[in-house]
Amino acid sequence: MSSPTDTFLQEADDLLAALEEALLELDENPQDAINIANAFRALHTLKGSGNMFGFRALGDFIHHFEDCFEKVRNGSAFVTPDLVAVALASRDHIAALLDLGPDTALTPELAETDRNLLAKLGEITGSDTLSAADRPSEDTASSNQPNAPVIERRWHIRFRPEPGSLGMGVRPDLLLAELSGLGRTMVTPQLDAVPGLDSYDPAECYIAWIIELVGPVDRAAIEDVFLFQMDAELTIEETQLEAQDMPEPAENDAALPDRGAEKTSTPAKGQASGGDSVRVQASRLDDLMNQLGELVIAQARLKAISSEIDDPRLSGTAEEIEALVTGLRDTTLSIRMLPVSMVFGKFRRLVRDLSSDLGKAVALTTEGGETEVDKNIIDALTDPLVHMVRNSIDHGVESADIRAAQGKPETATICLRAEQAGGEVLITVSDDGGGLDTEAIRARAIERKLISSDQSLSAAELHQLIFEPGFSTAETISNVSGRGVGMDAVRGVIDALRGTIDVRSRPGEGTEVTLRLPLTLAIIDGLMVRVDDDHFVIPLAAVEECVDLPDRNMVHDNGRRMLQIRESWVPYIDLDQLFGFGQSGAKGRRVVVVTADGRRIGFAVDDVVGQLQTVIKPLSRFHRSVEGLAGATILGDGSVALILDANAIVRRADAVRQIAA
Amino acid sequence: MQQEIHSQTDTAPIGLATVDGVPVDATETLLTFRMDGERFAIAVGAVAEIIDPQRTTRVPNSGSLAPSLLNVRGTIVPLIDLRHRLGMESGERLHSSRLLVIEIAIDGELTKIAIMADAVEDVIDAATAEVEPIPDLGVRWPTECFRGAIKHKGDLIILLEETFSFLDTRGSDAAL
Repeated sequence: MSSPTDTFLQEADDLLAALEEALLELDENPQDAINIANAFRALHTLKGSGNMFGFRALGDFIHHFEDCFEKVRNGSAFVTPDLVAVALASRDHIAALLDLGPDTALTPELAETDRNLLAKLGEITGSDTLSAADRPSEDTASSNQPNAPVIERRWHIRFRPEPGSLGMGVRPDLLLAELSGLGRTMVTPQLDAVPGLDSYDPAECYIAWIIELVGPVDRAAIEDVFLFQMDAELTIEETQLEAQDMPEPAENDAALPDRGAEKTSTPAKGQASGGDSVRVQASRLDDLMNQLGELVIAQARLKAISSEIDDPRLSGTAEEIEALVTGLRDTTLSIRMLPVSMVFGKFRRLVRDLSSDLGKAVALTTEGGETEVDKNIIDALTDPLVHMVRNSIDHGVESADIRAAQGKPETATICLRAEQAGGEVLITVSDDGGGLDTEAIRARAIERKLISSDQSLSAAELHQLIFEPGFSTAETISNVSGRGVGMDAVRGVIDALRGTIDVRSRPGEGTEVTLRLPLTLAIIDGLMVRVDDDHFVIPLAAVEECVDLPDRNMVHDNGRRMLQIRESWVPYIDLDQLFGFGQSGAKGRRVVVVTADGRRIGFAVDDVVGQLQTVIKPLSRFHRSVEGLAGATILGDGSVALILDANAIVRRADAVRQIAA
Repeated sequence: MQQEIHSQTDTAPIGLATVDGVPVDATETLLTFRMDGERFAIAVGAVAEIIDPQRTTRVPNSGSLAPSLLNVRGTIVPLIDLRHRLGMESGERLHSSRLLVIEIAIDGELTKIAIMADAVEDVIDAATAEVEPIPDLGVRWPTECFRGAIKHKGDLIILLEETFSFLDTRGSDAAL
């Protein structure tokens, strides 16, 4: 990430997600100590790093939010549905405060929300919480244990930031300000390390500070301030309170010896929670992928040259490079793979909010969240899935009394499921609601002039109509769904990802929408074929087998060509005719059998050239709308081969046959 | 062989023919090329590069506007059949034929296209004020494709519409 603040914001996103997850778990199991601890930990880390990066309003708000959870954690308050609701609203408020940016004052609206939320939190948990807007600053430390006896302690803190840390976004001024929020401080800068002007680097921090802190503070609170200063020199020592510090003698003398044992603080603990993984900016992954794509193309060129020159030393090296590039490709692709649960995780909140907005009891179940998909597909999937889940809850799930009358459980279930099948990933949204009303769809489609009134369509064809632009059967437009843009937009996104959508619905039993998506968008294994003089690539994931085409074709009813492969008849499409290249006179043609739309279909080609790694390049706007093409790729000799989209070719062939019939 | 266009006159204002309706002495730098015996010109700034004819790949069912594409340094670029768009007969490839790679914004999207010229001729400076409407003899051509014509050393040069918006694939039969 470019700047430390961006890194913080990214982490804050993760922490907010963790907080939400914990809160939603608590909604179901209010006693769950692990999730109470998770929520507390997320808040605590957010507060600490938020303060460090100048998000003072955020820190103040979370401080009180955290107090409430402290009460829950120590058993003096309990998780109630009300608390979860306010806590979720507070989570959203934190997100708004993060959007506000560092070192920014609250807007009046946000200050209002701030006050209201803290008031509610305080009311529910019985905490004495005041908003940042009202709270006197010296309140910070004591409000942790409002009823505990105030024990003043004196701390001697020596802090020398790592010289280069300013460049990492460390703000010593904020750290010192935070310390002074803990109690009375006296800060003395140590300038001995500042070099002469000739060797002075203005970007380095040469100053150390000695801070005398007096207040009801324990060591952990001080260490928290320096939580992210892993490379800094830091010593925290407790010293005797002096007469001017405090009127009464200290009560905690007994604690001193064992405090003294840990005189030199270990460097503050960092966030090691990430394990041994690293964060990488997404655009760097994209760059890596693009360069890998060019490398694959260059390697193909090397291979072509090597077979031309036919020198064993060259061909040996070329083969070695090919193996290395293949390995590099697989590793790079695996870096880009993320679990689908990253998308699924967002839906618990959505389902909870929608079901309470619409007064329908809905439970969400997820399966196969560990299935991995390319990052770009994950990113693109969220919006379509939101539309689909909204549609399911809004249109699919019946109201509780209708469900009861039909003998269904009162709580409806929506299931998000992911599974990998060959080179595709299937993502399914299913509900146990009323199913699609084919009659209503039909009537609507006729009204919208999508079909003519005498057209007879199968149920499956009618179901596909819900993805047409401007189609919506909802009688009243709600703010949840029903503007007719949703499902149309879903299809747009899925088409752009080279995916397909299947709809299965049974009246009274529910609807199941399945998205079939490729695992990756960038590089695929392809099978190169020749049609006439041109080369085309068929994605290998779709290919089942290649067979010879007998010279005597088997022509069956209405012009559909069939080929007997072992026991079964497989229809096939002549690509040369579909492409308008004219009848091929070639001998010894072959048929590539693919799976498209769940069927086995053959593509007759002049020759099967072989397998290759295919870097998918997008087509220009002049060719994007040509049906049957998934993109283009550059071959070893620099020429371009088109990549075929098996599903779209079958659709086109069906359409051509219908027009011809 | 590759020829770089040295557009040292890139700073010449293009399309700023008037200030408050009064013509000013603006000049623009144009690249002239020949197609079917006619001389055409486009703004130099739009030309990304000029390359020798290359192997192209035909795109099945793509229609007559952009029937094929080619690889220009790793980018897939459509080859626009400008002759067909302008209503000309399709031509032979000549020894002097060159591909002009042009970068234009279509519908807000920066797009590279290639067109085949029979010959690339010259880079000239032309006064914007001298651009005239296409004379009557030119009406056999679709006028939306042209900005006008200029006379240069006794020769008539036809200026292509500089944004190439006539290639927009929306709403036309272009993509069929």
